Amino acid sequence: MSERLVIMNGANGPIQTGLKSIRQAAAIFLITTLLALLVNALRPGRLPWFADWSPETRLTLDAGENLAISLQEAEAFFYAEAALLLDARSPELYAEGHIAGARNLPWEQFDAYVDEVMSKVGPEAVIITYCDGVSCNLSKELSLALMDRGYTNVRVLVNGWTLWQEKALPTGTGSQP
Amino acid sequence: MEHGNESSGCCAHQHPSHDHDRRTGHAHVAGHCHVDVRDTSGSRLLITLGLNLLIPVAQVIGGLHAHSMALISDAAHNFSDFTAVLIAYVANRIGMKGATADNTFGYRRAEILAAVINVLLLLGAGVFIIYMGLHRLHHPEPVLGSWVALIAGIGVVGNGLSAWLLHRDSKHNLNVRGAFLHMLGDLLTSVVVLLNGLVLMSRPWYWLDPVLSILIALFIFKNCWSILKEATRILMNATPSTIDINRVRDYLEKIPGILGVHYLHAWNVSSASVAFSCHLVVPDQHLSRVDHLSTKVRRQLHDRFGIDHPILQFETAACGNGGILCELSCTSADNVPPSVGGKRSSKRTGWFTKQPLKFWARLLLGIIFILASIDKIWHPAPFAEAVYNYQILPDAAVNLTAIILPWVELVLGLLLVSGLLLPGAVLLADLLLVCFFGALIVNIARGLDVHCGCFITSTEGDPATTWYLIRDSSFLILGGYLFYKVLITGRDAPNLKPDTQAQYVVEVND
Repeated sequence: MSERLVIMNGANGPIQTGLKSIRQAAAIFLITTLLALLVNALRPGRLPWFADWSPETRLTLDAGENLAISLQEAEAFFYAEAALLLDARSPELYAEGHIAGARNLPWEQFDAYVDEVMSKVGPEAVIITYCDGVSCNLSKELSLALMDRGYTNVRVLVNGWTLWQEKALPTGTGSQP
Repeated sequence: MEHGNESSGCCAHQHPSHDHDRRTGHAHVAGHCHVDVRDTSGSRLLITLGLNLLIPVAQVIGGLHAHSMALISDAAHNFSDFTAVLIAYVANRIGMKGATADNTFGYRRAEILAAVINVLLLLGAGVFIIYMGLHRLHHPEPVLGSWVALIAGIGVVGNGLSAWLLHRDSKHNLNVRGAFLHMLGDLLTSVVVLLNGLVLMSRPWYWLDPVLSILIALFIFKNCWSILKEATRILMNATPSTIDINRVRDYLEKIPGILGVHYLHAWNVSSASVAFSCHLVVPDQHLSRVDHLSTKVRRQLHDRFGIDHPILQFETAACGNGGILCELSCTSADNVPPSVGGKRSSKRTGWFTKQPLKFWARLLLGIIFILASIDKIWHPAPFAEAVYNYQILPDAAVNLTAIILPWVELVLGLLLVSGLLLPGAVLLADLLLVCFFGALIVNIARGLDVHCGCFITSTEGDPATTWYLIRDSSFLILGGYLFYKVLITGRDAPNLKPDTQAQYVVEVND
């Protein structure tokens, strides 16, 4: 008696399909990676593979000046009442809690707030902007915008709100400084 | 029996014109001998050669004098035709050499090479014209219309003459057809440039000149395409478009005395000659008795299918010489192994005809990926900022992600749209979608607003975030559906019925 064994070549089995898809996915990824790196190396606006994303570097202007200010310095300015503190976050967050005496100049509503908040502030005044989070760039954007308007002494307190609270420094709530 | 070789043609008379339009422009004659008219077309080619050298010279001189972009590009075009006609002529003469020991099929494939080179020259000329045209659009210059009209008029006359000379022979000789299309394109372009010149005589629409030259180039590209397709088919030894190999097999199997037919191949030796080979299974008999059958088969193949170079192998064993393809063709009637089947297995899995829902799903997801990737590729720095703002990857990985990820998206999108490498593409795309969705969820959970990279301590529903959630989850659903369809229930080649996958039937004897 002879039996007929039908051996599928296996192209359609689930494991084979799975392995095939993994192989293909790996091939796609590798080749595309090479392509991407190649194009990036050749293009005019190319990105370096590794960049310094630390806040200090991100806050260093092209001229080399570092916008960042340390917590100690900010604290010193605060107690000496020698600086204007600006909260760059939204009014809602500002109302929930802000550095005591800081004014609210939300970056996302800059044009609406700037004239009122900066009305009596001279161009040489020391201004310290802050927001919440190491990666938050509201304060940086705000500082740059203020510098565009002629303020020469603008600094950024990175992760200002969290650091301030951690050190239990004076805060306030509500919509007034 | 070689037809088509001029020195030993079976008929010596000339046919006034060959009506070949049975199936394609150069399908072969059936019912009467093929007479080679290449000798006539050779001298015609020479005449057009001369014309095509004089005309561009005139055009260049006139074009420089008149500052006409269109004239100069027409001249470049015509000059490339001079070389094209030269190549066609040379290929023609080479093709007329008969078979030799080194080239048993003769040199007739040279005409295919000639056609391809023709096309490449035209493509080069076209690209040049477009480049110059765009340049001229940005830097317009005044054009002397009257000169343009005069020179173009000469071109019209000359090209018209050339085209007319080649017209008759173009229908059955791919080589001459290539040259003919050149002439036609030349004629058209000259007419257009003539009109251009006439217009410019009365109006200062100087942009017309480069615009027309660009249009001319595009027209030329279009013409090149069909020649290239046909030449490629012949070079790939594809089954000639005039032959349906299944019909040939069916016909042969019905001939009394033939038990079976397998291992069929058909291909073009040149555009005018079709070769064919197969194994014919016959009952065991004296070989001399097979001669009669052989003659009949050859005649029928020639008359019915236009095959002029058949190679027949007669066998008595039920499955030929036991080679694997013979086995397959014997075991299953449905089975269509590659050497017999006329099926063109589609590279595109289920393109539109089967599983339309899956088709639209992958099309949609593919387009989404492509669109998403474009801006990120164009502006990598803002995208790097965005990646940084997600605060999920370590700083060192941010830039590399910003460089590589958009390209992965683009490639995946293209693969999904085209249906190539579908299992891998779907797997990778779903992986990405899961990661994006996961990143979104993580950041919502820890209250990070990815736009500014700052934390929101309030838990009120941010409309933008809700929108992202909805959007990403719909993409994920789309991706999941494709995952199911392609990877879990999918087949590699849905055109084949499942039981005709290559199965090896092994007989196990106890």
